[in-house]
Amino acid sequence: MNNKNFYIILLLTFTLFGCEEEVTLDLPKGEQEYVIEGHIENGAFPYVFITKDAPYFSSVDTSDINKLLVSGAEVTVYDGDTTVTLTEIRKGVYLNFSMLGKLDTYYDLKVTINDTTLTARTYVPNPVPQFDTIWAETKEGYEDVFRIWIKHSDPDTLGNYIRIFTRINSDEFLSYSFSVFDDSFINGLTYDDIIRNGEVESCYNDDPDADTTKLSLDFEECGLFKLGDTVTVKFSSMDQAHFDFWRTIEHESHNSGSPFSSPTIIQGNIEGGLGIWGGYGSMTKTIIIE
Amino acid sequence: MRLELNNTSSIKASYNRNNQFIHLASASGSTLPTDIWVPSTKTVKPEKGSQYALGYFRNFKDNVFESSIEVYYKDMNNLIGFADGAVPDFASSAEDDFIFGIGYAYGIELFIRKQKGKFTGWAGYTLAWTTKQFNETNDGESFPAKYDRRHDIGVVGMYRLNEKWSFSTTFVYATGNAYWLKQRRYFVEATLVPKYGERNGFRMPSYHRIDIGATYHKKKSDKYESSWNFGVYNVYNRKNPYFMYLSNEGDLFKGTLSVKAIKFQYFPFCHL
Repeated sequence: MNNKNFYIILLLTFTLFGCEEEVTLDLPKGEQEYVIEGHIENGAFPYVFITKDAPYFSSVDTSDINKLLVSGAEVTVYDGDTTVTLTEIRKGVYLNFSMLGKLDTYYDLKVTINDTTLTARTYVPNPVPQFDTIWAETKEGYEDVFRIWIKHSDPDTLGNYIRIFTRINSDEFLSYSFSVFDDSFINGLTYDDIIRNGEVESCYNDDPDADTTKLSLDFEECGLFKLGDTVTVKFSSMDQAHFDFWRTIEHESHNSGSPFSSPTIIQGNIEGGLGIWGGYGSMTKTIIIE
Repeated sequence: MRLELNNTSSIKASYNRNNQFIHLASASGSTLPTDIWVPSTKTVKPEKGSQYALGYFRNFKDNVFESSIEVYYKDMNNLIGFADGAVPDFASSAEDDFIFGIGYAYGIELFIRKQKGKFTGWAGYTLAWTTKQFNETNDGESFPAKYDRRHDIGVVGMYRLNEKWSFSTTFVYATGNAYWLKQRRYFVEATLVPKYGERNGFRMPSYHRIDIGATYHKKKSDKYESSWNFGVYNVYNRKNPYFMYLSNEGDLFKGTLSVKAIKFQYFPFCHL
């Protein structure tokens, strides 16, 4: 480029310096609410985790987070026949070991903390058979890094809401960042789909000395699986309220911190509080990669 | 409609009825204007507004000064907005995410102008309110519109020194836009989730600046007339914000989580 163009471009780049500035905002504190993170799944016990919310700019140290856990709440679940009380096994975590989740059942949650009562209802739907074929293929150019594929068939009725989890060997079930979907776009269709590894760690460098404040993405193994892994893929059906919660949460977490996003109001289903009481009707299939 | 009271003053009144067939759907946050324009359809009805205005106009000192005071009131129907849980989704039409409501705008405008002599100029002040109300958001309570500008001040002064030189100065002031910001936060599956406060309950800092200028008028010839303009914008260098957003990044369990508010301004070296 000639001299004149170069100087024009140089001048224009000065316009961008110092565009952003961190500021301190004086936000009103707002009212505190309780947050419920609870779920019930077919063949599993009900689980409820209770915390409190805090002002947006309050400290995020782990010790301050601990103060947000709620102890001493009275938690009950009713399945249409019996009511069970959940016991607090750890600060903020409530479980019951006698009621197993059943398909096609409504579950009512009631939580009483001091003078506040929160209630919610969820449904454990029959797992809609979404896939029966599962296979693994190597990633191009790699011998021992695999993608998992499924043949996905959506039934012809609208209103199927699914969350996908994956488990490697005997670790816990984890979900990838875009884990929920509905069938408004794929109603009645059959197509091949890729399942992603829910372990976020697969997307970051293994280097222990790496600067953890700036985690760098490692695309080689992001969302993929290794030779010898036993992978279990779980498709969990949900009711619409449960789906709306995860849909808004996942959208918000991807847009947070971006100057181009717009407010997403999280649609929880707890009366009198925040969070979710969600039912999952799950089906699983396992594959050993060899 | 105009009623002349005497040589120097009059009263004017007007009534306007407007229908609008394309609409700006505003996803009001503190972030970039990602509003979209939509046409009227079976679902999206035309927006309607009625405006009433009444003013008193008066001239002073043999028409050297002109002044007025006006009040106006406008009510609007079928205003369009996004529903609270709306998420952009290529599978469904944006129409399904709209909610419809009403709005009001009213205010008072004061204006004075000096039109003769070496020193001329004008000053205007407007005090205004613009609110919207939708049943499906903000618990059905009315809230300020994003562009609700409570105070709007404009002052312009011009001084003609001689045939060659004239000087000018401008001062503008506007109350900041109303934004919908996050107020509280909680955690779900170790992800930080925000809770928003009252809709449009937060005010950006106000916008104001002073510009000064000088103009050198060259001698007019038969064919040409030209002048040189020299100006300084934003004389006291105020960093007027363009938009703001709240950001959180990092991982809770790795102890790198941080939340902060970021202000974005255009052209930081001249702070327009």
